Order: sequence, then C-alpha cells, then structure tokens
Amino acid sequence: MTITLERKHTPKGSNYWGETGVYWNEYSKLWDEHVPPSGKAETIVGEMIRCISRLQYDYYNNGNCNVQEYQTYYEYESCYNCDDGEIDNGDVDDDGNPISEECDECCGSGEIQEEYDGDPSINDYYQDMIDFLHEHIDDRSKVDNLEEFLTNNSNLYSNYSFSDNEESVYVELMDEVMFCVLKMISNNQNNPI
Amino acid sequence: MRDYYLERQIKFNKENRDRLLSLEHLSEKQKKELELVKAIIKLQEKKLNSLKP
Repeated sequence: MTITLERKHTPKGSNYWGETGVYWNEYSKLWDEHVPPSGKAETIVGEMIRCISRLQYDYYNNGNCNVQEYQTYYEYESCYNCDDGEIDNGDVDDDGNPISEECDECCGSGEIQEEYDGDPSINDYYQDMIDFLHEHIDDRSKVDNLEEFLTNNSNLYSNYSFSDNEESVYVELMDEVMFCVLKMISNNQNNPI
Repeated sequence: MRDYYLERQIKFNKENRDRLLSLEHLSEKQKKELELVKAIIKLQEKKLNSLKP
C-alpha cells in the first residue's frame, strides 16, 4: 500500500537555517538518524538530507565560496597610489625642480592589475550533490532553480542579501527534499545507495 | 543553549572583516568579500540572538 503525504510549504520569513522550516522537527530527527558524522550516508534518505544541508550551509555561512567557482580575469587600471608611475614626495633638487619617486605599487608603470570574477560555475564536489538530489527528488524544478541561482552571473556572492526571496531557492528545495524523504520512509523505500 | 560553533564562526568572520577594513587599499575582489562578510556576520548574529533564551 502506498501512503500519500500532504506537501507542506515553509512560510516566507521562516527557513531551515533559522530552525523554523515547516519540516524542521522531522529534518532534525532524520539528520540524527541517517546522516553520519562525516562522509556519505548509506541510504538515499540520509544522502539527500546530507546533500541539501551541505549546500545550504555553504550559502549561509560562506556565501557559496566553496560551491561556486569563478573564472578569474584581469584588467589594467590606473594606479591608485601615484600619478602615472611617479610620486611627488615634496623634495626638490639643487635647481629647485621637484624630485619624483618611482611608485612601489605599480613599479612605475602607472597601471595596476585588478582581478575580477567571471561567470560562476559549480564545483564538481557540490555538483555531484546537486545531481544526486536531481536523481531522487520528485519536483526537479526545485533543483533546477538552485542550479540557475548558482550559475547566474547576477547572483554573485557580493550581491547576496539573504533576503526571504533570495533564500526561497534553498527553503523550497529543502521542503521538497523533506517531503520526498518522508514519503520514502512511509513507503519503505529508503534504499541503500 | 549556547551555540559555540556559531560563536566561533562569527569571531572568525569578524577577524576577517577587521583585516579587510585595516587594509589601506582594497581591490575590487576584496571590496566584494568585505560586503559579503558583513552580510554574513549580520545574519549569524541574528541567528545567535534568536537562540538565546
């Protein structure tokens, strides 16, 4: 017999990081029961919970600096420290002409190399977690939304606001993961990996 | 209940923030990092306060 569960949704303003997600109690219990202290879980349920938790953790605690990778590129800009490679230190020579020093910052070139982040991509280690969720979840659009969020150039880490709208990508995916794992457990489908 | 791990994280992030603030010149990348660190500290302190009885 297949047991049907009702899908629940975390209201705006609540989240799992703040321990107020709609399935928080179930999540907490299943984490203790199915997720090992380190390494992969042995079951699908455990691994799904571990994957979404790792992804969520890096967003809230590190601004996804482990999940996202950036192709770095460089541009040359005017040196902030000097005027065209020289610094006027106020000294004058015997004829009263100002003596300039070579700028240490740009070695006299007048330009400095500035590093910029290009388009973000997802680190392989975390991509495997996303793929695992994609494989075992019912509503795959929630995983697709997270992938889109992580690879969208307008969502660079410096723009993170941690607002309700922004974190809804994680909250909705967490709700979906919890719905799926509870359904698996109810239907005795928590198979080993 | 005190969350020692979160407290340690906040301390680490504040040290990182102060290190960046002490630099005479920040590169574009460092400016972005500073904004992010500030946002995370705010978020973590909010969580820490919500955990206090």
